[in-house]
Amino acid sequence: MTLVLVIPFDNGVVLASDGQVTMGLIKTRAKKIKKFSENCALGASGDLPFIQLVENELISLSEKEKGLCNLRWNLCNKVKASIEKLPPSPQPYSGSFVFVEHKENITHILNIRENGLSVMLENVPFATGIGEQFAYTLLQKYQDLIPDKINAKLAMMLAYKIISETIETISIGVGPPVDIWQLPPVKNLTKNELAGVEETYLILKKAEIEMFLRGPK
Amino acid sequence: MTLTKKDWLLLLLKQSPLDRIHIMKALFLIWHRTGRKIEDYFVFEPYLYGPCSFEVYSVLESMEVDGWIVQPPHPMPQWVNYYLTESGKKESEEAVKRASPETLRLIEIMSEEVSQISFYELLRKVYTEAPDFAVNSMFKEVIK
Repeated sequence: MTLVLVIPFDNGVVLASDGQVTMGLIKTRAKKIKKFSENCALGASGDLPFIQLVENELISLSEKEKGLCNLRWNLCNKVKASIEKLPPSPQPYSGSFVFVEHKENITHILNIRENGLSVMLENVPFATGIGEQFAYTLLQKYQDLIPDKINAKLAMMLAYKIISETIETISIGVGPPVDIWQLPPVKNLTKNELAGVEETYLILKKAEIEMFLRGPK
Repeated sequence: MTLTKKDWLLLLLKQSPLDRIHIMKALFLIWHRTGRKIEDYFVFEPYLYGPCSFEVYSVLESMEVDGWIVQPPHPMPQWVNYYLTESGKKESEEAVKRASPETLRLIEIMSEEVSQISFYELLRKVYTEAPDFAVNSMFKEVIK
């Protein structure tokens, strides 16, 4: 299921996800964002067997540093070819793959669906997975600030807030822990850095409530 | 003898159970009010909510693994106080022996001061006393 979120900022981009994987009746935790190359990170939502198959196919890909614009059709073909390798299933396999790179002050977001269809976006927030509509709703009031008016720390904070509020609201398909990556260069936040962002989020939440209560009566 | 980072946390929690935000700010105020000169202490940086030492999180986690501190179950564990366990209390008694009377008095005053105020008042206190550590705060314009 999953929620993967992309938030560009003034000189880079943040990629975040929830951390829950569902296998039948069992919930467990897994990382949903990975390093694709030195300049590009990959997030995925959908059926785990399909995602893992695609990720294995992508490991063997050559010339990963060529950039998403050059790799786009090759990546689409890899995704499309992967689904044909899976055994038949009563329900069609689903998958949404998000490649994110930041080059020459532009964030490129390439989203490839299970059937190989793709969309390339620049410098806009993006969400995919079961919580995407909820995430876009929460992002709405920040749209005009992205990317130029926010820095890396604010982008991380916003990503954490949106993923957390989605987890707190949606009953199935998403769950803790929140994972955050930043690029360039591709870097996963440490446990301590994540704890710092989490603390800020909790203070913001308390501050919002206190401000509301202190408003005009 | 120099106190370890775990010693500072043991001595603070010996006085009163505190949540993570209050612990962070109490440790900062101890450092700030002693002229910002404590050997082998936590290193603070101006972060999104004011002074923060990321090491506090890992030391707390390590103390939980040691079985010295515990938090009651809660959907938002970050908001819940840390309590010393029985072995934590024994360790804190050992830490008392390593600390000077001035340090113990300072920790006692600080614990009393921060444990009695809301997080909002706590942030205001910290931002007023150390504005150089509020420069990156998301709340500095709100909390005045």
